[in-house]
Amino acid sequence: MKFFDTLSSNKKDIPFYYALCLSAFMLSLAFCVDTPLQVLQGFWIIISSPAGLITDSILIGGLGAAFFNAGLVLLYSIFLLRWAKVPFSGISIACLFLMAGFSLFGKDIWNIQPFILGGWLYSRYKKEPFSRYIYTTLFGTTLCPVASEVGMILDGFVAVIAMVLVGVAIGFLIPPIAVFSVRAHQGYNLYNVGFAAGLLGMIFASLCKSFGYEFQTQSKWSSGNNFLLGGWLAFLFLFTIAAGLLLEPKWKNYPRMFRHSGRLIADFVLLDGIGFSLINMGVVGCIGLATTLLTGNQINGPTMGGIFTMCGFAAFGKHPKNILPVMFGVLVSTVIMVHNLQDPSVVLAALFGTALAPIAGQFGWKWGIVAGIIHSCVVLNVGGLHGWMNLYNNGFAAGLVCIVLVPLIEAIRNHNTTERRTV
Amino acid sequence: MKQTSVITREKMSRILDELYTALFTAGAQNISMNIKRWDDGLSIHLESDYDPALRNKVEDLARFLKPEVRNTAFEETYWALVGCDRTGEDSELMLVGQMVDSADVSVEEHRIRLCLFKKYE
Repeated sequence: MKFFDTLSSNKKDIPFYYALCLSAFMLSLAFCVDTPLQVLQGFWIIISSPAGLITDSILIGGLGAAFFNAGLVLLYSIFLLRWAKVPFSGISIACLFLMAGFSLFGKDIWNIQPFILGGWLYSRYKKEPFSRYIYTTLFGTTLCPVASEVGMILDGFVAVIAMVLVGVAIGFLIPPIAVFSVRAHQGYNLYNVGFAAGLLGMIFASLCKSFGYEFQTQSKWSSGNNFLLGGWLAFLFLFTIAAGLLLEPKWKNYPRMFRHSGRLIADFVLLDGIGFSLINMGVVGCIGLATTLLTGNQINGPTMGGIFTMCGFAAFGKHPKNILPVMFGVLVSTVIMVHNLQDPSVVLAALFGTALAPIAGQFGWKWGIVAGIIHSCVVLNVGGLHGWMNLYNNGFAAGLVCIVLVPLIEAIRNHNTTERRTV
Repeated sequence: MKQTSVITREKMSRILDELYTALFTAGAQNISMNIKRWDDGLSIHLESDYDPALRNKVEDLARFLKPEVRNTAFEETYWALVGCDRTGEDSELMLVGQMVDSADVSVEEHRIRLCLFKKYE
């Protein structure tokens, strides 16, 4: 009880310890499901393979190697946040869960390095501490498939040099673009860097296509692990809820969190405390897991990435009231449109489309459903613009949806308000 | 004037926008403000009445302006969102708290006094 009492009195460190436990859990799980040799062999395959959408690390490297990679990337990200001396809060949890989740389908400990170096160099260029850019830098590793792609095109040492240079350049460019892109969507897209990276990736892909290079999409999608992975996720989320209940004596007030629209920046750890945030993370994670299973989809690298990202962002803007309308909208689109519910891109749209949760939170559930329907159409058609190189394709699509939808909603609402005033 | 102080001025004007929106939301009828330029930064003094029935909003405002931790990463990426919101939402007020270097807030029975300081960048 002494350790728990210490934690309760110093709640600032809980997100750090929670992330550390998750990392240790993932690393140990890796060696429980596979032998050390299998893990290392699979790990090598993961870091030497192209990482464009959709590459399931579980399929190409095996379960153990995928978890080893994710645990390692998570541990490395925790180390970077600690090294940069940033306080741990909701955005830290969102960032760390996203890094762990995307390490199951695209990111690896090798291909993210140039981007982090690029972000660090940008902080040096601006003569500011790295802590100001650490999150944008970590989120900016979304374009790591570009580095992997360059590494695949060229051979030998030249490939490594080119990969590093391209990654550093992108990592350097992402922070200023991210500052601008947030103005475009006004904080209604939770995956802001996904939108910024999509714009940059679009220009990069256009340049490559102009020189005759053709990008290839792929669909490496594992199946058959629903029992193991679903059980593991259910345990994680129930544990998270239990931890939240223990830390928050007023847990019955949890629905008060739903008063937040979720619009950036809604750092729930700072707004409502770590206890409520953990409960919310567990609940949102369960919703993501249930949606995947109930729609007959597979729990694999990409869907786990989506569920992890939902869970992480439940400390930074998402809660059941603002995500459910958007998810429902995406699912409705499969009924009225040609989309198939079992299509990997559609289930990913349902999970990652919750980036638009602030629209439902701010303008109501009806607009949330509309946003979900539009998002499902847009996200299935914009991947080619960046050559499937931006892992946060949903963040890119969500940004585009916001730019069009938010001004329209505001215009309609303002018109209705004016009419009411004149009557 | 140095280029850097122009950015600080723009940020301060957004902070002001957010603050008076929040105060109006808390039922303010009369807000007086004073902005002062110092060698190393800008300060804002705000004094306002509020609706006692909405005291919880004012107390929340005071809490958000004096956060336990300040994370400079918030300001770097998201500062442009301050002042965009028309409802005085918590998240934007929290962002204001993350952007200023010091805040002195006193909440009395019918009045609130704020003194915020932001260094030049």
